[in-house]
Amino acid sequence: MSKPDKAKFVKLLEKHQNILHKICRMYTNDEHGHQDLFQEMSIQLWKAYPRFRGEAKFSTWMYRVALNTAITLYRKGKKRVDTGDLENVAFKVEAEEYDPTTEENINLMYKAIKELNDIDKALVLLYLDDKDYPEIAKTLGMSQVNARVKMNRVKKKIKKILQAK
Amino acid sequence: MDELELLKQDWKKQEENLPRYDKQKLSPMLQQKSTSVVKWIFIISIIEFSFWIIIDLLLVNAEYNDLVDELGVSMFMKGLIYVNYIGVIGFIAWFCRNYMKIKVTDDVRTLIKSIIETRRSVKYYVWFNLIIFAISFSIGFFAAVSSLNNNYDENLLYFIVFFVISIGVIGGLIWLIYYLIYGRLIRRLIKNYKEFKREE
Repeated sequence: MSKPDKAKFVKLLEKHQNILHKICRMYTNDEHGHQDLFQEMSIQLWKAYPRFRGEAKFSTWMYRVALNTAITLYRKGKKRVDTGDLENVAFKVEAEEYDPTTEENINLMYKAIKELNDIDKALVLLYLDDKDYPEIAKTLGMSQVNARVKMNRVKKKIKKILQAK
Repeated sequence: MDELELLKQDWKKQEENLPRYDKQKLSPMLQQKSTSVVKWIFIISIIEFSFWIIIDLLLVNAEYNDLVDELGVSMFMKGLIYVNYIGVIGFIAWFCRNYMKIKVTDDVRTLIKSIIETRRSVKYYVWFNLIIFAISFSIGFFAAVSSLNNNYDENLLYFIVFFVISIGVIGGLIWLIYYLIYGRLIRRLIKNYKEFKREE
């Protein structure tokens, strides 16, 4: 196996870093956790990079490795204490025209997502990033039917939280 | 509008607020040590394999052979040692096979399954060693008791109580160590894997 080109990898990492930041926002609650997970995902990507053959787009490959790291390999995330007001640090709602109800609803949804289990979070993350069901199912390792069923459950859960406010 | 569609619109706008790391910050990150759960499972597994191999090497020496000869259980103990060696080789091969299957580029479910199976191979290895240990301990113990000609009946109850307590204490300590180490390491993985299984 030839020695991987570090400069080329760092360039790709810099270009596609938004993918990692979005996963960090989904799975961590503070700046320190964000940086920690980002670093672990970068390390795992670098370790896996020599086996990247280019069959898939780099961003698709990166998404999969990073998500696997956040859900499966990363150890520190669960040690952190969940605090309600941290959602405001992680997500800044930017309604085009300021609407307090919309802002409140969006904040409530982010809060509801933070309470989901790891797999449901991944499902929502992929959905929000415009991945279709075949890709969601393939990334997570479940059938498309199961992905749809789970997604509907998540939607209902979020709706319930909004109605209960 | 679907609630999540509303959220999707906002999610796209979030990209503008995301941090940006430059090459100077990204490059040193790659030199840092990983805290991956797989790395820890690997380290602990190697310690486990080494621990039991060292215990075997320490126990089986000339004095031990003399003692089992004296107690008249030498054939049985030698058989047990061969079974143990075959077991060690088999379990190490099984562990390596499972470990090689762990690929961070697999889908989430497959990756979790591979890690749990790797861990399971070490768990069975430990159970195998405990069973071998319990069998040889029992044989040695009862052979020693039966070789005592004097006061055999008077001491039998005392010996049995001692035997049960010893097995209980050793078993309890091993369970506690495993509960603490692996409980922390793979609780999250098992929870996530159950979530997949629930949908099947």
